[in-house]
Amino acid sequence: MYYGHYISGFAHLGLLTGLFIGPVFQKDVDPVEYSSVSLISEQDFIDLTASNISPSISEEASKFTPMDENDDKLNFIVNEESKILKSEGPEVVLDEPLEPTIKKPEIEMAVTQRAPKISEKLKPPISEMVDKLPDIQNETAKFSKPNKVLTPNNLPQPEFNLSKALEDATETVDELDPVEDTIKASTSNIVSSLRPKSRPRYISEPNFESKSESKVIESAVSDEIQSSVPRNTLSNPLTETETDNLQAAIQACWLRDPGSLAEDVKLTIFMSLDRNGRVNPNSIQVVEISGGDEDAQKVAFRRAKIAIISCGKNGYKLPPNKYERWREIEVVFDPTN
Amino acid sequence: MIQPIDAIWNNRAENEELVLKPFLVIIFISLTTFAQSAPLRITITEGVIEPLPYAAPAFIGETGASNEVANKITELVKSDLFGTGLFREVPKSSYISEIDTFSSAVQYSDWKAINVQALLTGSVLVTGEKLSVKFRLFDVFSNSELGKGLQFNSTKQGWRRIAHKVADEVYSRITGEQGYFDSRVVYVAETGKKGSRKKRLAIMDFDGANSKYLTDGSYIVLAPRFSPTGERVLYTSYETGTPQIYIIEVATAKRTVLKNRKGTMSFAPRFSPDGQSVVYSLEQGGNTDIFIMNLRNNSSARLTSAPSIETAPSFSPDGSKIVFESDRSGTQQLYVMSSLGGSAKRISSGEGRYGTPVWSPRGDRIAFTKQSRGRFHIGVMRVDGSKERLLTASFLDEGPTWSPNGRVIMFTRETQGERGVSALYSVDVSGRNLKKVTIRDGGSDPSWSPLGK
Repeated sequence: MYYGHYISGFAHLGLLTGLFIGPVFQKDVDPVEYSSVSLISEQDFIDLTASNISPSISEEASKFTPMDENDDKLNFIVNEESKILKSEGPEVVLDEPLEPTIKKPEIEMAVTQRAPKISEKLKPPISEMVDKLPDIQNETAKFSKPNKVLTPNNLPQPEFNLSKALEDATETVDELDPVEDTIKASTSNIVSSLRPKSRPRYISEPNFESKSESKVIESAVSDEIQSSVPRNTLSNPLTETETDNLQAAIQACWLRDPGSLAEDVKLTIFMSLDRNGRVNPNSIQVVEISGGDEDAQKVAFRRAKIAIISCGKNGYKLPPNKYERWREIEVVFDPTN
Repeated sequence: MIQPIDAIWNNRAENEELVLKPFLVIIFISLTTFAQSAPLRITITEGVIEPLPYAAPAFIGETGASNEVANKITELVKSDLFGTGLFREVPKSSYISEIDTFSSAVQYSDWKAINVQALLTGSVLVTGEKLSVKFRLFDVFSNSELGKGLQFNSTKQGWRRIAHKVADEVYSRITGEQGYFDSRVVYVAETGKKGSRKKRLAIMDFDGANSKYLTDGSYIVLAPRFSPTGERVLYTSYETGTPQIYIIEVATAKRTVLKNRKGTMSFAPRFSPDGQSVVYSLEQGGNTDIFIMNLRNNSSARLTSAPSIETAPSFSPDGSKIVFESDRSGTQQLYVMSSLGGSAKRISSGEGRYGTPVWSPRGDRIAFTKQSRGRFHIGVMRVDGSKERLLTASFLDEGPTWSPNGRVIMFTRETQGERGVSALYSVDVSGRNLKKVTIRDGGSDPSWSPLGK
């Protein structure tokens, strides 16, 4: 048997994974706390160690302000009534103030995910659990205010034991296939769904039916899962051609003015799309903006927004089977490049 | 109990499996969550350079007597916007809905359907000699008004200026930059044959309308320059036989001479940004240097002292620096120095000769004339001399002047030969939209005024 190979393979996989996702966790390194050492009671010791094991759950949720239907973050906000200005030239009468208050674009990022409820009777493997996260396509368009923003501490936990579920799944598969095949099946499943193919030679829909572990478990849990969890399969990433087509579609409507100060502005815009490829206008937000003064940034945002809306009014042509990949898009408009 | 070696390995494998599988699952969950939470990201670096489509239905005449003026104002506003090369009017034949009254609600979807990005509506009221113009601008794709309604009041004779002001507001709201339509240009009007041309100081609207002479043409005038407020003009005159600098009040045509010291010639004057000083060239004993004169006490100070020719000084908008041309290196090049004088740094480095530098009102660029390989060019460069870009090329292009918003450059173009004529042209700072300015006579040496108030 090639146990050494497996060990080496997993070790390398772990190392590579650490390299990929390690930086994500590096930001939240807490400073080391120091305390003097003294004799403490047994109960104090239990309390001390318990607090490290089970962090308290915070109920505080960040506020999420819902957007009005026609809320344009860069539009003028004017409250004052008419004024009259006089100058040496023609008399100027302002219907309303000439320089109204400008509301800066707010960057709002809120991610809500609900963990699926899993029956105690059925314990699918984790790969299946992740594949069947709830479909939130309609929720992104509404931007409704959530009752409570879930934090890692207060996320409802699926009611099953990971190790036990894994053990059960392994046992079930072991009855049908040798251990070797089980590991091959599970690793191939992971590779096909997690690692984007940078240069796919052909495009094919993910065929989960062919994966032995999934097939076996699915036959046992599918009814229960489908009744409680909407399907949200993570499909293959968009191919280069599909991405290029989307880029071409947007840039065809991006009107540029080479002499303008807005040409110094680089901005990133977030948008969400429905399954027909239509942009939800209310979802358009500035994620990042740099360069130029405030007026130039306003113009750059307006031009980018118009480009996104006008060229997508009939829906962008994107592969329906990869909706999860393009339901939310960040478009970087970079005239400075 | 002694286990066979195979059983030991099998047990060890099972144990390892139990340890590794959860690890694998955790990696899978982490990567899957990461992949799902990151939106697809694409980068757009290229767009299309096309005029922005807008609609401007004829302004509503609120009375029968207002209709004619309303039409004239609408046409002039559209002409101003079209002339920038940045706007394209969607023709009336494409309209789905009409604007019947100034207060009627806008059907955004109708305008969106014909790809109108901005909609301009307005109304005009003429009461006796009084004229009142209101307008609104709509951002069609945001379903909202762009800025707020604005009204201008004037007399009927001031209709052109009102139209320019409306166009300035529209331009400013859409581009985020100040307009330049309510501005004037002072220039040298030229009539007659090339060898015996009559040169008169003249002033006109930026688009060539309302041209008026400020001098009678009995002597040669050169290089007029507006004051920062647009009320006065500096120019060089040969009426005494030698060049001398004059200041003329635009409103009254009253003149003041900045007297030379005996045996000197002064020329190429330009106001400081505060209007309190004039920087100019003075030729004395065959050498030309740059001086600055305080207009409050008429005291002068030398800024350069070199055996070479230093001329054509121009202030930076903040008044801290001066760019000028000098042949101290053997060829005509551009230099920047402090407005207090001192050492100068050469900023031009390309092939050919550089002259007549003018600092942009934005402060970020310097326009210049370049002569290279028998051709003349108008060009721009960053204030440190980088990113030089030539905007034009012809037999003779020279004397650039910036529009008040730093977006357009006007200059003189002269055609070749005995019958060659001098005319004014303008070009966008991007090098696009090169066009001839319509004026009554030939023209040279333009100087753009600040925006009207």
